[in-house]
Amino acid sequence: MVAMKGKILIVEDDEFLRSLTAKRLEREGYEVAVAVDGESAVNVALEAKPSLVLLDLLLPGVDGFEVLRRIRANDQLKTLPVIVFSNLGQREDIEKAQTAGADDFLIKANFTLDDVASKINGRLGAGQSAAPTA
Amino acid sequence: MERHTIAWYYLFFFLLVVTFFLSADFSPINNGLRLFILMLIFAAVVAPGLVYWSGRREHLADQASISLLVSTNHDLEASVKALQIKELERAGAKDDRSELIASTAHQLRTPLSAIKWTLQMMLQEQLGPVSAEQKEYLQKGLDAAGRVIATINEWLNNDVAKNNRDEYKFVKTDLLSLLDEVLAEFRHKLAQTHVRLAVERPDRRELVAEVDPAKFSMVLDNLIDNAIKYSRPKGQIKVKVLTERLNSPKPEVEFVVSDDGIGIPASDHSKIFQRQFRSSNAVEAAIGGSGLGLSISKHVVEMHRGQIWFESQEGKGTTFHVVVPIYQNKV
Repeated sequence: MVAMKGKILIVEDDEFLRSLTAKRLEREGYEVAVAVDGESAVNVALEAKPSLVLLDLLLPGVDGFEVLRRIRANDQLKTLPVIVFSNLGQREDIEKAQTAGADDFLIKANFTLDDVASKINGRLGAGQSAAPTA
Repeated sequence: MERHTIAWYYLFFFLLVVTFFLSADFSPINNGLRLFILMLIFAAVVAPGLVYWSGRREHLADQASISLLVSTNHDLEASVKALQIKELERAGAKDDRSELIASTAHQLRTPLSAIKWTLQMMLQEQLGPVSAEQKEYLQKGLDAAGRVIATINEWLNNDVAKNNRDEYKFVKTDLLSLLDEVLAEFRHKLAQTHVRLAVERPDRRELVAEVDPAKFSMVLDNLIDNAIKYSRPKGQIKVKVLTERLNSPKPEVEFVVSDDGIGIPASDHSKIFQRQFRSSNAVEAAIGGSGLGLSISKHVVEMHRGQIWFESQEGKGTTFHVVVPIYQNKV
């Protein structure tokens, strides 16, 4: 249950969702950094040096797809794991996010924050995607 | 020149010759007979004129018909163009409708996520201690939020599943990873319902088939969701991936999803894939559902040129089978 300590950058414009996610991840033992829009996300990532980014797609101004492209184009950030965490979930959105370099795609409404926490634990703990419970 | 026109020329020439002989003084015939023959010749000369004139009339009639045809043709062309515009508008409307559904779904999912996460965090006492009674209410609230989310998801799926085969995007997909992704979404639900899941997968790293991954995962999602939903508490569901027919002339993969739950009454077997049909015992057991899932699944499987069927015994459980070909274009 106890994960390797790390810092998670939450890029989320909805204040309530952002605070719930931050609270849950802090409970899990992670340090949390936040960005409230796409424009600031890359700068926050460069400053905060997170271990993983939880990225919303629909953001004011620069959207999550563009943030992802900028992260992948940045030498310091290009290997940073990015989990897209959005309520968009059509095939086109998933494909677009994968093309832009997302490591995973979670639809918010279909998961609980416990699932997200264990997904992050799995990814950071084992250095790869969590094996599904079977 | 037409044959009958040439014939008239010959006749006219012949009559001229005859007239010449008749009018000559050396002609052996009498005047009465001569007059009669001349009248015949006159009739013969006038007749072609009359025929020609009536031909002109017919020709004029033809021209009127042609004008009519041309204008009808113009009308038809205009109608075809109008229909094409309508078709484009319809396609646009369909896109607009899909766009509307997708954006509404997104709008609804965001507050629903907030409700779901809050209730779940409270239930887990992550936001402070909660009494047993409060937990019961929170659980009911969480279940209700889950039902709304499921309905929205089905709504989206239903829109997608109305597509024709040419709207499917078949790509080489590892079905084992696809299954893992689907199963990952059920981890919480399994823990919550205490339903046990056993997965039997082939001993191989990957299993690549040409499917539309988003739509095919809807099928697996629906079957597994049903299996959990119609299980009894602490029931067991099994998901098997069978690859026996992988090296056959028509290579295919079979997914088997079974549960030991409430089953489907025999009288409902023929209706189970019908749109918005819900089995009487499912309704009686107050298990939520829109009755769209299996009809959508059947449509998606058929668009993949696969088959879907089931066996079920009321009170003992249900087993669904889905067979999907490995190749879409070699079938």
